[in-house]
Amino acid sequence: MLERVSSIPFAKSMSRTSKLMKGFRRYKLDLFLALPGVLLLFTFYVAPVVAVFFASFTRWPIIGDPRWVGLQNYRLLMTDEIFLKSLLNTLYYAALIVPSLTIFSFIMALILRSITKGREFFKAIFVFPMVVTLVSTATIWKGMFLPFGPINAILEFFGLQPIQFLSTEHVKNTLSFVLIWRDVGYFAIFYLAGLEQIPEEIIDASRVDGANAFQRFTKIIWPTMRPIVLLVSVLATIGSFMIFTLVYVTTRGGPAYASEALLNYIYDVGWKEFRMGYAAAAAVIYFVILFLLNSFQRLVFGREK
Amino acid sequence: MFKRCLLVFLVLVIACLGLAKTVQFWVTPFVSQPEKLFEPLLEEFKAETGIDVEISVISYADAVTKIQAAIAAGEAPDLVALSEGRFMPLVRFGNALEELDGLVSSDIMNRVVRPQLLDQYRQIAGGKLYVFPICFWTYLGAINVDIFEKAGVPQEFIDKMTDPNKYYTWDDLLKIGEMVTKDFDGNGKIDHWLYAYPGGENWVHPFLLWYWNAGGSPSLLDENGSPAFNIEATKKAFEFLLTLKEKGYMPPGVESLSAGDAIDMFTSGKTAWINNVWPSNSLVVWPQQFKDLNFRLVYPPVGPDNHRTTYFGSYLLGIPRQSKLKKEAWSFIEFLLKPESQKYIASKTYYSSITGDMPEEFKSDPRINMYMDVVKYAIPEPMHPAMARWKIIYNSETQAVLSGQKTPEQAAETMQRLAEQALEFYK
Amino acid sequence: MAVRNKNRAVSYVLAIFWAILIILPFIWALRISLIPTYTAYVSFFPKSLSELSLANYKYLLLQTKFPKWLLNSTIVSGTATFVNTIACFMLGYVLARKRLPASELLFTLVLALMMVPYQVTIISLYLGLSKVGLTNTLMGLILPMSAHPFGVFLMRQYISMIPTDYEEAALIDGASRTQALFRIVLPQTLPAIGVLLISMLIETWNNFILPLVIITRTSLKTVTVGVADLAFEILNTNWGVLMAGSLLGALPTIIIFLIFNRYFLKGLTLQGGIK
Repeated sequence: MLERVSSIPFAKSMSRTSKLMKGFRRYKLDLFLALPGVLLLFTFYVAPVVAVFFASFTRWPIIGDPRWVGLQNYRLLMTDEIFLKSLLNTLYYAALIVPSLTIFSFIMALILRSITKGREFFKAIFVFPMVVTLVSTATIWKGMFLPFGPINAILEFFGLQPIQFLSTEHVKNTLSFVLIWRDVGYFAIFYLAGLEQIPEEIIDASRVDGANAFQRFTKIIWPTMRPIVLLVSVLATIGSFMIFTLVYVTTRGGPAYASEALLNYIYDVGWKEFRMGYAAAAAVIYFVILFLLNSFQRLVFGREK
Repeated sequence: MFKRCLLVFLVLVIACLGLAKTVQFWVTPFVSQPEKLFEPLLEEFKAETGIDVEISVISYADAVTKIQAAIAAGEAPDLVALSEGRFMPLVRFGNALEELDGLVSSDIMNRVVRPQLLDQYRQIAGGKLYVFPICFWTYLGAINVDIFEKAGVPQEFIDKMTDPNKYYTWDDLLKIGEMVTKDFDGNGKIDHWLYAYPGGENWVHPFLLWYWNAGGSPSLLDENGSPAFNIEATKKAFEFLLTLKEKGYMPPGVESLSAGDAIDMFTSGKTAWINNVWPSNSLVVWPQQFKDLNFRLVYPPVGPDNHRTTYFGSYLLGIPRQSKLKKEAWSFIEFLLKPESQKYIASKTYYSSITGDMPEEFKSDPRINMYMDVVKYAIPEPMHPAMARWKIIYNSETQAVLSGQKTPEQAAETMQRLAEQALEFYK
Repeated sequence: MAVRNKNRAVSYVLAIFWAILIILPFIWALRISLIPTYTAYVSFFPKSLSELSLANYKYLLLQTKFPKWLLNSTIVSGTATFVNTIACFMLGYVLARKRLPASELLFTLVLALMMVPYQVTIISLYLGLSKVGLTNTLMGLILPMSAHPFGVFLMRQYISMIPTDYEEAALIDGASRTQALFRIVLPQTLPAIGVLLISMLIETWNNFILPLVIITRTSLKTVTVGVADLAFEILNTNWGVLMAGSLLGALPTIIIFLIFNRYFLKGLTLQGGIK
């Protein structure tokens, strides 16, 4: 018995091992190169995500022991008004930020392209907000938006009515504006690179051939720009979903949940209210929605066969 | 770079080992720069007992997050500053705090000026004491005397607000509101308003002041132990705040003001009255920073059913169960409760000493006496384990009322429903 | 031609307008930071020059641990960015050349990981770090930020654009694959590495939630948490110090950006060309 077990599979595993050895020799360099990155990604990204997934089926105050509750967290989430509200808010942020960023940064790239003198200077200025710590940016804008703050002072100077930027009606738009203000220049540089790949002569030639603006766009500009549109829209979607710090510093989700983003709700519930399992379930939903959105974008703007 | 990193790491490990006998003390910034406040006390304590205490300042906003994380990882500090609203979840969910009953000597118990407070802490936590206060504070109101004079508010009103034997009502506030909310310089714009309600979410108390003032339950629970939000007091408070807003006695944008913004409105002369002033604001920061501000402290108003209330907060210290230096931590608490330490803390912070040991000059200071006076009817922060969510619920519904999204009835009803739903997790 | 000139004029007007919009908040913050004030309602134009003072900056640099926080941020950001760049370059190369069997699968995973926010994973990260005793250490901040999915994505995309011809030619000439990698591929990847360096520096410098949870010792805090602590003061908000802190906390990244700005923009331009 012992012999049979040990002898035959051993021979087999020998050949498998030698195959592995061969494979290892062949891929030695690749394995070596990939190892640190893969190790770090699995330790600090994959493993925590898996842990969060399991935590979503438990009731778990962080300081106590987790208790398995099956799908209860998900069931409760479906009827949790504040969760649904923050989910809608997050989608609202994305719906406002993603198209605005995609379009405005394109326009800004066109502007930069038609500027000849001082293009580098303007590029540097436009990318500048991206470089400043978001906590600082948020703090400064919070001051700017105070009821009697500098923006309202400027509006009044021009004889306009002051606006309550952080009121329930405006707060989401205001915060979206700050994020757009921050990122638009950064993405414009992406587009500019694409635009610079299209030589002026081709456009001029197409003019001569009698192509109208629409045809020029669909035939020449769009094919070059599509991959960049995809990149920008995917990055903008991820960015708009991660609107946390801005809300955290400026409004804490108020007034009346008007600016509460999903991540802020997840953070509050998990870390302030001792409901980490519940927060984990909300996080799983967050992740699934973002993943679906990004897949959809890839489908729309992705490479055509 | 890697070597440097390794070096930093090694240095840190060595530093950690070296500090092993140090009591780790986490404080919240109840005064600006608390580490400076405690510095002389730490030195004295070290000289007396040979025990080191290291202070880490953790902001109010993130204190709970950090405490939880530390306890979950088994790295809790030896001593941690908490508030009434914050210690119960730690006891309830993780049994994470050490019972102090065995440690407190009868001598200390006899010196505590408000022993009924300790009973309250025991009562909520099933008869055991988990936290011990070292000082406490109450809120007073304040008025901007210059605005009152400019608006011609009769002296009678100021007397009502400042005389301990008289009182002013919500109706009086409306009258004052009408007088002060005006365009005085004739440029077509209102110059100042009566009151800025700090609608900002990151603060516990502004709604509760009005709710209690209208006769709401001090513990936020009814006699059956369920949340008491859909009650007359809530609606009355909402209606009054809404009246102030609709009559224009509140500046625009109150629903998104943080506590600091609302104080800023008062100190920069935009509002004439404010109802939540800590001693550390009115007695420390304002006299230094706002020399032109001509203000007077006033008592809280009397609500529609003759309730007069204000808020009462304590600086509570707890010893996490995980701590290996519990005895040392407790001896530091005892040290802080000594008359000299208490006097020192009071003299720097203007907060009230828990043992009643105040500097001599304080006893004749009318402002401090006024703060002590309202202790009689001040209510401590509710201690229910669900407070973190409840706080967001009632603040958010107040914001919904102030921004005109909901009527007081709707908001009270939503508050009740959400508060009960939240209890699902705290059974 | 006239149309083009008119377009150009409009472009300049719009560009200048946007530039002003970008600079305005920082000018306002600078103004507030130059006066010791507990209120945000300060008139924009100072009555006299003597009104301006550096008291807030002095306070931050001398009375608080702000310089220490700046140093911590620098150590954390610097080390994490450095490790990041190496790890992402190497993994990106492997994924781009698709020599390993599961390369495409791994790349899809990397794309998915780009969507994972720290707010969600921080709890398991924290508990894991505590098991190895890395909480409350700078190392505990550096390690989790040492490989960023976006960095891998960027490197993979960029390297896959570089034709393999040179590499193959070098191999035929008898160079080893390691030599080919460092002599042929690396130099061609430099612009993207420039982008990676600066993106990761910004990313790690900005990280807020990680130091917020992992660090409790005052002396180990990073600048972002320090600035947020100033902002959440529940007594009167010290606007002067808050604004000074906001600007000071952003200063190192701004300086690095200004020095390497050309390199960064050039790299970004190339990154936009990724297809």
